[in-house]
This record gives sequence, C-alpha cells and structure tokens, in this order.
Amino acid sequence: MNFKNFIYFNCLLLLPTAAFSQGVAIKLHIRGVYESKITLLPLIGTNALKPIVERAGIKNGETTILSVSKDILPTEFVLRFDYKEKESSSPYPCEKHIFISNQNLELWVNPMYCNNNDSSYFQKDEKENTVFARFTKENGKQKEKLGLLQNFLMNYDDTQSQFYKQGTEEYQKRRNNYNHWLKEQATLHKAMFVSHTFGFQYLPQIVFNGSETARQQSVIAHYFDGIDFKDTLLLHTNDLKNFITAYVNIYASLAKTQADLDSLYPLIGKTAIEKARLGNPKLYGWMVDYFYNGYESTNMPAGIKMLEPYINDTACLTTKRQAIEKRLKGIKTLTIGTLAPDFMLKDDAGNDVLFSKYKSVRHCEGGTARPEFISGTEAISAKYKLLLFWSADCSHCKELVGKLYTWYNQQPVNTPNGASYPLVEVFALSLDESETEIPIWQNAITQLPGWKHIRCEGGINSPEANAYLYSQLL
Amino acid sequence: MFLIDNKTNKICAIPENTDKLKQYLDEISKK
Repeated sequence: MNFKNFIYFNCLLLLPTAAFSQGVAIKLHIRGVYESKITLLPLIGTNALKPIVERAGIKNGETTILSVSKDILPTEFVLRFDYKEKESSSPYPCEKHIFISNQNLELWVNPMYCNNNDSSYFQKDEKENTVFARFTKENGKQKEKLGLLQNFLMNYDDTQSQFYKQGTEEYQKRRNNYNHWLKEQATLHKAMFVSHTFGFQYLPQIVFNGSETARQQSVIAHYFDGIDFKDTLLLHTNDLKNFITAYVNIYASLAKTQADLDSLYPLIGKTAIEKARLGNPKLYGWMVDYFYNGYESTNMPAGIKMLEPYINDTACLTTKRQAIEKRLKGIKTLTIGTLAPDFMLKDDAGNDVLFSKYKSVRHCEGGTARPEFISGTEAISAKYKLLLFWSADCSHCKELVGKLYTWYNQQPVNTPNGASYPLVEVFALSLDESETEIPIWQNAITQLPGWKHIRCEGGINSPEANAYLYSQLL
Repeated sequence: MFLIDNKTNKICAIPENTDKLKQYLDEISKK
C-alpha cells in the first residue's frame, strides 16, 4: 500500500466515525406491514413539524437508518409512519413521539401499532424514552387522585366547613409529597434531557380559603413556581410552549367580558415575561417572542406596546426585535386621523394607479359576486376602503378573512343618485411569496370575489408592507 | 386592518377584527 492509498484507506475507516460524530443515528427495523414511508419531524425550532428526514418504501423486514444533526438536539420528534398493510392498501399514518438526545437509537417497529410497547420497542439500554415512559406512567398514577381532589376543592361551595378544611389539608399534604417525588425524579435522572420536562408537572400552591376567583388567582400567582428559567434546555422542550399557552388560558378565564380580555392579554404577557426576565436571557427572549407572535396573530396593538421596554433591554435575546420595532413605529405613526400611506396598484383596466386615486369599475353584465352594487359601467367609490394584509397560508388570517367576507356580503349598500355600491370596499393585500404559498393564494381568491386582490411582491418586505409598517404574519 | 375614508384618504379606524369594524361602522352611522 502506497502513501496515497494508505490515506484513502484510513479515510474510509474514519467515515462512519466522522458521520457519527455529526449527530445521532436512529436504526429502524420495520415489520408487520407491506411497506412504510418514514418521516422524522422535530416539534420545536425553525423546522418545527417539517420533515427533516424521509425514507420511502421501506419493506417488511428491512432496516433503515435516519441521521439527525446534533445542532438541533436534544429535543422531541414525531416519528411518522405512512404504512401500507398490503401492497394494494392505501397508506395509513401512525405517529410516535420520541426524544433524541446524544444516544444512537435502535427501534423495532410495527407501524400499525407504533405506540404499542409490545409491538414497537427500543434497544434494551435505551435511556431517554425509557425513563420518560416510566416517569409518565408513575406520574399519571400520582396525579390522578390529586387532580380529583383539586377539582373537588376548587368547586366546593361551603369553604367554611370542617370537611372542606380537612380536604384542603389533605390536598396540601399530597401536593407536597408529589412535588418532593417530582424533585427526586429530576435529581435521579438529571443527566437525561427528559428530566428537564418534569418541572412542567409541578403542582403550584393554591390558597383555598377564598372565593373561586381568589383560588384561580392563587394558581396564576404560583404557576411558575416549579420552573427554572435559568435552564436553557427548557427551550428544547415542546412542553414550554404548551405550558405558557395553558397559563394564558387559565389567566384569560378570569375575564368576564371581551373588554376584560383585551386588557388582560397584555398583563398576562407582562407577568410571564417578568418571570422569565429573572432567568437566562435566551428564555427571556423566547418569552418576548412567544407573546409577540400571539399579539401579532390576534392583531393586538396594546400587547405589542407592552413589549417596548423589553426590546430596549439588551439582556433580552429576542429574535423579534426588528419586527417589534417596526410594528411599534406603525402603531405610533399610523394613527386615526393620519393620511393613509399611498402605494401603486393596477386598476381594473390594468393601468398603474395610486391607491388614494383608485376607483372600482363595476359592470352591469357578467357574474360579479355583488350585482346589486352595479350601476352601469362606471367608476365608483365606496365611502370607505378597508386595507387588509393577509396570507392565504396563515390559519389566523384565513379565520379573519372568512368572517370579514361573510360580513362583506351582508354589509349595507349605499345608493346615492340611484347608483348602488358597497359602503366598504376591501383591498386584500397578500404577503404570500413562496412557491407553495402563491398557488394557495390564487386558489383562495377565487372564493373571495368582489374584493380587490393585490399580491405584494417581496411579501413582508414589499413597499406596501413597509408603507404600513407591517412586520409579520403568522 | 385599516379603514380609510375615501374622501379625505385619512385612516378613520384600525379595527382588529370584523366585530370591531362592525362596531365602528354602527357607531358612525348613528352620528
């Protein structure tokens, strides 16, 4: 063997080790079905719920290996099987949640029963998923009785009775025991990633000697008692988002009216962010991102205004600083009574026209959605223009547009001089720009006749979005 | 959403949803 061949030979030997050091391998043995497609989707991060690895046509008895880059580890994944029981069968899905940390995994799977431990199981020395499964089973047993007792006490009407007092004492005793067990489990398995999810199960203190609202408020006040906001591995858990969403829902349940709710949402965000602010800057930033996304998706300027001091805090590692700044500028400058920013669009004849000068041309004949708006063929102006930014690929936008369109078709019609046209003309500005989004938008607007549809080239960075200081759609 | 008066080209409401748009238009029609 000459020197050149020696290097080549050694490189071949090193390849599996090099590939191995790049991440984690999951060896899958498929059985019990004709064939299966296998997809791995992370539950968090920028690729959340998007396939990062796919293998198609893995037959009964075959083995395949999925590699996962260590950059995104540790975290929780969905391992999805689209299996055909027989060659002629249609694919049917089965999803299994798995944790991947730093250990290579080997999994024997019958995709028809991918969550049945007798049919689908890991190698004997597997750690994360085995510990999590044992913890989940024991935790369920321990929490079941506590949950029943808590529900009973939270809704009991005679809070002055001896019986109620005994019940609350029993609950506090069991709660302390449970939280002690939880802490023991976290310490015992502290080397495991899954142990960082245990804190989400912590049972906070409840002050029982008060009204039902007071009890709810005490749950809210102690909600984060079991969470260590210095622990950055919480950012790798899927539970963090669910935990905060549950907090928002519990807090929001205090509202009696829509006005209560509108004023509560910024307060909910502020309370949660203040807790995270005392922890790691990444968690602090994550919390700001979470509430910004929520306020933006529900179009809540008061919530976005609440975020202002946090984006001015350099300790806050938010990824949304620029977007929030842009929105805050929009909130401050685009106020009621100011001139609507102008932009160019095409009129019905295809000519460039300023938005401020735009007039619709309505035709007598033809299948327009609102023939009652028609008065010959002439340029008309509604009393108001409604400008709406949206994406046909955004669930919140679709909900908003659906309700708006229903109202649009029922709105009163102005009829000065015998001509009829809508009170409000809708300009729906689409920020869709990707190859997958544009066809969805093209299809969606066929269901929304009567509106003026404009697709903004450049999406969120388009001249139209910039003019109106729009920064994000969800 | 921005509701713009077509005559003055000024923003007259920034409704967060359809209900708030309706509410604004109802109020303005009563004036």
